[in-house]
Amino acid sequence: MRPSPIHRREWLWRVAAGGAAWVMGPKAWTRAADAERPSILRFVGVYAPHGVALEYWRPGPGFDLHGEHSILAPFDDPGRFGRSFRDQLLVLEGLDLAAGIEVGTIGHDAARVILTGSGADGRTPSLDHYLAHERQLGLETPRSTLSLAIGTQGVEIGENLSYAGDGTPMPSLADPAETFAELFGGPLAHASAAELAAVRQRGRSMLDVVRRDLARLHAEAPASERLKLEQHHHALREVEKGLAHLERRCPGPTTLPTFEKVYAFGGGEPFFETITALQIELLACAFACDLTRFATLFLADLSRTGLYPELPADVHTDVAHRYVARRGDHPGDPATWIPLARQNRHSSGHVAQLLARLDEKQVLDETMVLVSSDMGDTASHSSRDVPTLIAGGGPFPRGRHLRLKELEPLTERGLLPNNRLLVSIAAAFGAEIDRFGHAHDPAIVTGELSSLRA
Amino acid sequence: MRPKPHGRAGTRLGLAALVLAGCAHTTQAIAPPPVPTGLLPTRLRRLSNAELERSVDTWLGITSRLAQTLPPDARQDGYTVHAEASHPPLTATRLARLAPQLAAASLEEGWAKTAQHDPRFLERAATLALRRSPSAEELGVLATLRDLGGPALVVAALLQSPSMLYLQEFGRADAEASARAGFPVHRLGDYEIASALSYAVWGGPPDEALLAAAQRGELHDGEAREHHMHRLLARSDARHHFRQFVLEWLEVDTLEQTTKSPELVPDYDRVKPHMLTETRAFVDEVMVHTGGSIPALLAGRFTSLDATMAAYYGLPGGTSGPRIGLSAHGRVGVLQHASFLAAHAHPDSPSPIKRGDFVLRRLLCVDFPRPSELDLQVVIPPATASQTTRERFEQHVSDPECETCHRRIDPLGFTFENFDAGGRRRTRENGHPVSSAADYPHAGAPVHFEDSVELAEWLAAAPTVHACVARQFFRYLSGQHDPAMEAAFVADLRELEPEQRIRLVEIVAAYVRSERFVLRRATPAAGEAT
Repeated sequence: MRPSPIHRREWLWRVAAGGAAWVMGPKAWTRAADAERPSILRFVGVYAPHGVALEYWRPGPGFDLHGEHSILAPFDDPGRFGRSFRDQLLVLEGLDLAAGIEVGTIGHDAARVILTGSGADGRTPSLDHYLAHERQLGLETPRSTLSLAIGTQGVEIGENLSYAGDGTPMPSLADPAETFAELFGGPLAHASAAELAAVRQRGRSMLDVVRRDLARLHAEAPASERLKLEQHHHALREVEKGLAHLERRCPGPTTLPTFEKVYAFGGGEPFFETITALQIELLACAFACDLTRFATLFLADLSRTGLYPELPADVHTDVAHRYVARRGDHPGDPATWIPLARQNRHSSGHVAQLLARLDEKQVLDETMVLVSSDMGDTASHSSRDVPTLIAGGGPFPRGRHLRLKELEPLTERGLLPNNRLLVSIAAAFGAEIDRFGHAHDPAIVTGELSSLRA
Repeated sequence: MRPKPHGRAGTRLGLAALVLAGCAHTTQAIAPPPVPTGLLPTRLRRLSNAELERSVDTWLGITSRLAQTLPPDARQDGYTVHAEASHPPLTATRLARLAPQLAAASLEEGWAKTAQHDPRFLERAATLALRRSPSAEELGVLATLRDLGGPALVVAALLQSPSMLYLQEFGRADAEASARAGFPVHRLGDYEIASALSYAVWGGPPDEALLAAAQRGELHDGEAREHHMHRLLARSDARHHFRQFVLEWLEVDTLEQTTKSPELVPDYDRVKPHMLTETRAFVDEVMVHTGGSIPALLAGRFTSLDATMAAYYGLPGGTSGPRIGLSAHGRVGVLQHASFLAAHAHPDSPSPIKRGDFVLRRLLCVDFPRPSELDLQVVIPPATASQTTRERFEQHVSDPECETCHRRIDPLGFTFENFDAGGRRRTRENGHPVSSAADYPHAGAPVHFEDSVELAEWLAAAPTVHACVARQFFRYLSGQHDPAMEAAFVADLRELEPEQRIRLVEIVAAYVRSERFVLRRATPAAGEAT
């Protein structure tokens, strides 16, 4: 049964209200109950800001997520999210953004390293881009990848998780209206078959001219520019796929949710919680409708925007920068741990919200969600021991807390590169590789995390 | 026409050699000058959004606002123009959606409205879009497209063509230059030079006169290139390009993304656009009246204010307008504009670190490792009611781990202490008098500044600063970020008279007439071994 579309205002209100009931009816946006369809693994990379107050991040004995000031408590909060995700969670402690540390791509720039395993000098793709474009696992869906963000369009290296094969950041969609338009079609959503055929013919003829020009350039260009042109080729493939998928594949709202302003410090401040809820909802819908299988979600540093009523107005300066960690013999300053833990828990809530929406649409078990940050100890802007979570689907046994530095071999500099996690995740998607990313030290990019499967 | 081997500086050397040769009554050939070091590579540079918008608007005769519609440029070192830029899928899909609309707008009210009836429509459209003569094969393909969907489809296809989106700088092998250089050198083709020149000078496509000059093969001559440069600079819209350089160099073009504590600046969002208006107007004045004098940018004793900024600065009524002298109010040059001061500050307090770091990085071209690179734990000293910002930050120099770098960063930043986080003058903070006097340990001999006015005047007179700004300007003009290439470019400028090398217009003139502008270090083509 196809539910009737609803209008933007109602849709917006219901999503923003955070109600568990999905606006399109319980089955409309869930993955089709097609017993014959093989299970498909999907991937979402999530960035959470401000590192972590490590003291309150570790699960307690018995994988207890309810210790004092626990950052991970939202993952075991059925009252708020409809169910517990405790058994869906794998807590990974001890990963270092080593390729970034090697060349100084650290601190606020280190988000780049999370999915690329490369510092700023690397011309390599992020994992989502690699799997979707280069391993061609995204070919079947209208969008190979989807890059979403809150408050930023993500064109600075520290403001994005997704990078093309030449190492350039993929711009993100920050406006839910734009996300909606990209995913659920524009003015042709209700065109007749004849109109669609004409649009396709014209579009493909145009693309043919564009491709000829690209081929000419490719033949004449220096080898150093080949990567750039290959990325252009990928981009044109997305245009072509758009022509193939002109028809709306999922029922949805007939008009778009709009905000007057959506950018950090550009007037979007009052709306960020609602925008976050909408972006999460649209991402889950995109997976449920199989519009894409690879996505990133950048929960940008939105401190200084009055977002967190229970915290100081300038969380960045007055919370993150004030954090004094326990370090060796230094006991740290416990008074500074609590506010940071509170901010971290707020981010955990967004991730739990994503898990809940994916679960509601029956795709959580087919979606591997990777959550990480650009820093561990946020005050020192250190890219060591970055907090990392895996949730949802995939082959790795969950409900565990792994102290990886005690389980895995380290590099000569005592680092445990996140590249190995990326190699392991690639293998989960059928891409058997022994290295990922770019670094001058081969030990950084090579190998997997064997303890993930144990 | 045979290309001239060198520009004006080279011409002077050549004439001297000719005179000597004449005295000796010999017919010995003049030794050509060496090939410049640090050449740009053969390359493909994607236009920035602003460049693409100007290209589309100029060709189609419309106002596309494309730069606001496409995903923003990924920057390199703060600059939107750079050779690492690529064409991501989101940009491609959005351009594909926009192209038919732009074509329709041009057919309705722009260039294509009349041009579509021209028998040479296809050739004209392709020449303007691709900035070169189209091949017969390309015209054939476009004719097929026109048969299918009319002129709109042709325009829409050209709008997405890589030849429109990228500047091609492949050139052809130059055997003589390669022999002189000792490595493979390419010389740009006629149309490649036209585009390189046009985008460097005004950030837009070559006009018909420049394309015609390219077709006649005239642009291999440095003096001819300079002639076209001055012609293009006379366009009023050329100011955008220089203005954008200054805004990106000062890191104030992203002012829109900053915020201030409402207690400190209650109407910051309302004032921000006026701050940028002041800086834009000031840069325009400097460009028009001084040819882009670097000392005038840094220490010009005037500004251009609207009433909002005059009130914001606390000036007596009626002091708004162009070329208002503000030195009596403790402001000279662009570093005392509210835009710069607010962009380099925290939301609720000024930042001597951000301001000092800017002066070192962007004016003196000195880079420091960040604390995290040295594995140093940074805890920003908390604001207290009993201390000034300066007192809070003075712990840097008492901490040996921080002292090495901060003894140079902090004094420069402290000179701005008489400006608050919103760029307004202040004499007290938390009830204590502020102090903007500082000693900067320059080359072992401290320089004393009473405040940032004295700093600005010192910077304005410093050859090191002129060279650093020229280096930044080269990044913007060429779109290439490479220290060796920048150093070679700055070395070229020593051929100029001292009063020339401090003016942006003279710097760009020297660049476009030089051999460096038209030669490229060849990198292997796609089909060749690497």
